Amino acid sequence: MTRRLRPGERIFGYAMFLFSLFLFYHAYQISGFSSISSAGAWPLAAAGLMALCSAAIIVQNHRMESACTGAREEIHQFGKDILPPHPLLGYLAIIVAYMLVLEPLGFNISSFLFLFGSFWYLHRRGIFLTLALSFGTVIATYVVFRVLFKVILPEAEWLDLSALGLGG
Amino acid sequence: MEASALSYFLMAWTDPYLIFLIAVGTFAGIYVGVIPGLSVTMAVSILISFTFSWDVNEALAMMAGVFLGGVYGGSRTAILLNIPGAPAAIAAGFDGYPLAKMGLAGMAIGVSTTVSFFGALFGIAVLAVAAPFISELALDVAPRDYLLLAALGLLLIGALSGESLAKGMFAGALGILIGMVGLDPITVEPRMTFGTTAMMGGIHYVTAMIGFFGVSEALVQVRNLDKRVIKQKVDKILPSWNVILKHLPLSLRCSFIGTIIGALPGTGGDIAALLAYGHAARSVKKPSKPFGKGAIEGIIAPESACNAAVGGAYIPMLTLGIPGDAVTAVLIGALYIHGLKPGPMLMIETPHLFWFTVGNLVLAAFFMLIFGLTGIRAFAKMVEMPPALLMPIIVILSVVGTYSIQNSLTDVYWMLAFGIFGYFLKRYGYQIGPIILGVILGPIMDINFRRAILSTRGDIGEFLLELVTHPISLILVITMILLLIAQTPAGQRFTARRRLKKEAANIE
Repeated sequence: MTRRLRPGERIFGYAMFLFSLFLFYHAYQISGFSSISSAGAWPLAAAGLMALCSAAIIVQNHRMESACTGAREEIHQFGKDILPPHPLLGYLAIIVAYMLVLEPLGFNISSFLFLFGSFWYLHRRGIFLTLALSFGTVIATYVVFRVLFKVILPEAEWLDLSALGLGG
Repeated sequence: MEASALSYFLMAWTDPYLIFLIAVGTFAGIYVGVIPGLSVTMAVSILISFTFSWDVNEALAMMAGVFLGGVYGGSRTAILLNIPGAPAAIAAGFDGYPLAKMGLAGMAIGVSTTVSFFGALFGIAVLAVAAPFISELALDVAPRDYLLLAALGLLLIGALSGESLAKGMFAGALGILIGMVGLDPITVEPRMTFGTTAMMGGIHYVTAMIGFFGVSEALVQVRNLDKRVIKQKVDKILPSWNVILKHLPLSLRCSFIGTIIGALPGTGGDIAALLAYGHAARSVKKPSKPFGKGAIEGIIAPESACNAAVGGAYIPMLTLGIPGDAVTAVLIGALYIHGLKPGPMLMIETPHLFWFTVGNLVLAAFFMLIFGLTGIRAFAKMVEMPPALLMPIIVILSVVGTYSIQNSLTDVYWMLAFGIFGYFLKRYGYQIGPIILGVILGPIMDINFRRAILSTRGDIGEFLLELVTHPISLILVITMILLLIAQTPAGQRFTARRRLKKEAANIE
């Protein structure tokens, strides 16, 4: 194999092995090793296979050379290549914030804020263009899904749009 | 075809209003199918509620269009953005997305549309000619055969593993475990719920699909904000006849697979497409590009199969009253509301319904071809949109799609978690395909394995004996053993030697 290890790949391999063991333990809790047609048989087999494969991946990783020399460079490369603060981590933070405000603010307001935030963060154009783009997208989404397809969207309980004839 | 059958068949063809309804249905189906999470089942269920006050013929005409259009539409986003619009389109993205990245999205969608049309016609033809025979065959399929079929599908992991088979198998097993979460369907024990009640309802596989494909792709793409957008060549939308003719045998074989899988109760276009992709990956010796890297065969196979599965799904519905998949289950409900009784008597009491439906489906297939080919240019532009604008919109669509499955915010959080996890998996060379394969096929294998064991009262010996004494099972077992042998180093040497001999003979 000529491929080199990606930054953090070795640690990820170990993490997946531990994750598999954790799942294996939980699969064992379902019905132990009682019978091959028990409820726990397939989860146990699948988790076992995961553990075996992740062990094999650890061995594969050890046979490969790392692209980085030393831990310091690996952390540096990890921050550059796998999890760069900008734009990935920043964007991820915006997404997580969006999911968290979905319940209290409802779909329309939170989506507008999310679109405004991410367009501004990623696209970096004028504030009015960003406002117009996010407003237009939310309106279009609402019309297509809520009005045309009658899809239920998360709604804020305190904000009763149906009273205004907009929701429901 | 008798004269009366022909007149029933042409009923929709001669009524402008019915033609209009089929066109509207197909159009709506395509555009609902495009959106991840908005499934064909959902589109049919919503639209069918409008039709309860309609005439039954009008309702049936529209539903045929929605069904066919929706199954076809899902491949659009799979090819353009690597985010399948529906589970049936997952396999179309394996090679379609690499093609789009090369700037060949127009060609990929053109080919997909054309073979979808052929596949759909094939399925409808089988429905028209062999419906009673196929439905009898479908009734003979026992749990052990479903187990074997799903296992055949899982063999695909070998082709989808990417850089390491261990990573592919890890991903497949992870998918199976995700599929197991929730209450066990036989004993109602909670499985992999970590003691919480929130996880008892299980994780819907569309949630996993949207998370792993949609959000993780949005995260991967966001790292390439500065990268120049690939301009899509959409000058040639109609694929050349040579390409189509060359791959017609493959398309027909996969349409056959799709029709049979579609006719089996409980299995639909998603499994048909995956099995057909596996068939293509094994049977096509010299693909235009390696599979998974933009092989045109990798689009032809699943697209033929999943559209052929539509005709297949109608077979048990119209002849036996058993749904072939979730959409036909909704359709059966609608038939009851319209005062019809789907089942063996349907063809005797209302024979016109059968030929009328066949006629509708053929018409819908033509509309699918027309709308499919005319809409490509606008769609291919989607890839040219700056990722800084496209990626946030994908996140919004993912939220809408996930929430719409069962109106639960927990699903949305799951989707996000899968998206982040999927991002790391992708970055470290684990493929997403096997996970989804596991999520879809794992529960089928689990429940059918246990049903099969229960039917032999826990006797493993009898279970194994049944695998070789029943004709359908025996065929599947032999297929599987041959495929497994072909994947071993010795088997690969053997096929390579045989190919060399064949080529030598050709040269002589």
